Amino acid sequence: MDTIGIWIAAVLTIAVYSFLFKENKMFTFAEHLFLGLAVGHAAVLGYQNVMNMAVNPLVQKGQITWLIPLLGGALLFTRLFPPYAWLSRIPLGFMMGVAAGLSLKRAIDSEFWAQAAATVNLGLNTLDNVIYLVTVVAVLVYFFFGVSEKSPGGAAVMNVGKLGQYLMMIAFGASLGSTIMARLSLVIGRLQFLFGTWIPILPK
Amino acid sequence: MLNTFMNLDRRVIYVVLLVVLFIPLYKPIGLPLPITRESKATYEFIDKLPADSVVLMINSTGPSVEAELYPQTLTMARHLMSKNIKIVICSLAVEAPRYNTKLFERWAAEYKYESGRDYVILPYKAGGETAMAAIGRDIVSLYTTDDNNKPLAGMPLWSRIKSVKDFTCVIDIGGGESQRWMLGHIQAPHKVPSIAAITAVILAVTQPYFSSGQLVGMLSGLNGAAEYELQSKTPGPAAAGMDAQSLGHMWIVVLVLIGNIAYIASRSQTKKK
Repeated sequence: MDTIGIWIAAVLTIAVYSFLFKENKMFTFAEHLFLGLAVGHAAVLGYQNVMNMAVNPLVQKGQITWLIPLLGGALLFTRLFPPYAWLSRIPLGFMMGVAAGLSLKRAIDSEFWAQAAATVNLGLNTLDNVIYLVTVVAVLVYFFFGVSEKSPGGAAVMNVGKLGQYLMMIAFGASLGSTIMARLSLVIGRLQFLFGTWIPILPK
Repeated sequence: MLNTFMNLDRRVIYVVLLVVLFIPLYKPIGLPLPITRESKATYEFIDKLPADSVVLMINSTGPSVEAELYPQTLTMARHLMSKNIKIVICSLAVEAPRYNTKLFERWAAEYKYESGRDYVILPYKAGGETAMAAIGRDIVSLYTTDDNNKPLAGMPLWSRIKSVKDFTCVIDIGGGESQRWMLGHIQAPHKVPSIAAITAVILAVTQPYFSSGQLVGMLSGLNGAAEYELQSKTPGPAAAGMDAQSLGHMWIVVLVLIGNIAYIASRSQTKKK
């Protein structure tokens, strides 16, 4: 069974990479198969989640509060019936509200305050810290649109903003470099599978 | 010559890249790999954890990030097991449960780890940030069975957990936003030391959390896994792939240089005309 799995994985890997040569039927087949598997897998796990978390406690233990999320979930499907589609907005609004509330709490606690406090408390004892502070200030100045070049001291502010712009470009470059590194890691992982597991010619 | 470079078929670039990546995998060169301060901090923190303490791993690995995240998970879990640290692992991505099972199939026998006593695999929970918030609020109520549908009540390891504060460390493994969810819903309110194992793509946005001290450790991409493997003296697939990674980068740098030189030269030729 393992051998069959390895062969299927190897053939599908080659099928996906064959896109780099040109689009072909093997690639399209692999693409559709992957999509189908991913949706099927998600559907099964979603079904298990609903059964284990809500339906079983409701039916077996009589925990009737689970009716509320189950009803909310069922209302989402009213989008399929246009006269009743408006009902789907109720659970959708609830979900959006929960998501917004959670994100806001998280952002204020661990992103805004913690990051601001760490930046303010940064000692200027290393070159890293100096660059960090200069970058924070320069980038903030770049997004300060209330000063024009003709304002008193405006030219200096604009120059600091220009510096912020260049520093942002360096940061975007670093992000792109990281992305390339990540993509190469994926290729390396596939090569290790193809030539380490499927055709084992790589050193152990 | 100039036209050749400007009109280079992209397939030539891909073939050369594949060859450049394959050669060091077949015949490792042994290029030096400096250990970053993030990887060093991660290794040192885990190495100092007391034996028999319990660590929570929150896994969001999927096939698209497997090559980067799974080697990190493997090497950290192996280190934890070698120190007899208990592991509770859960999934916030639909594809992650498969990796959790694979992880313990790989190492459990070697370190004599038993399900329920030394490790617990919790089932997948949908909801993303909502699920993370629920873990932070009341993990005991959230999970009643393990991944095989066995009741958690009565499992020796699970009986030690009353809240997320009972974990000596939380390790989030993911390539999306899950690190920020962990910081917001576990690290900030409960002050549980937190580590992020991330893909290289999100390094720039996660780095500030390590610099600010909110994360006690951080592993990034395949090189993060390789650095951890080297520190724990257990070279594995990540370390084996780093020569290929470095040569691949060199090929891309060469392409960028050639592309820019050819572009500048073609521009000056156009001006002359």
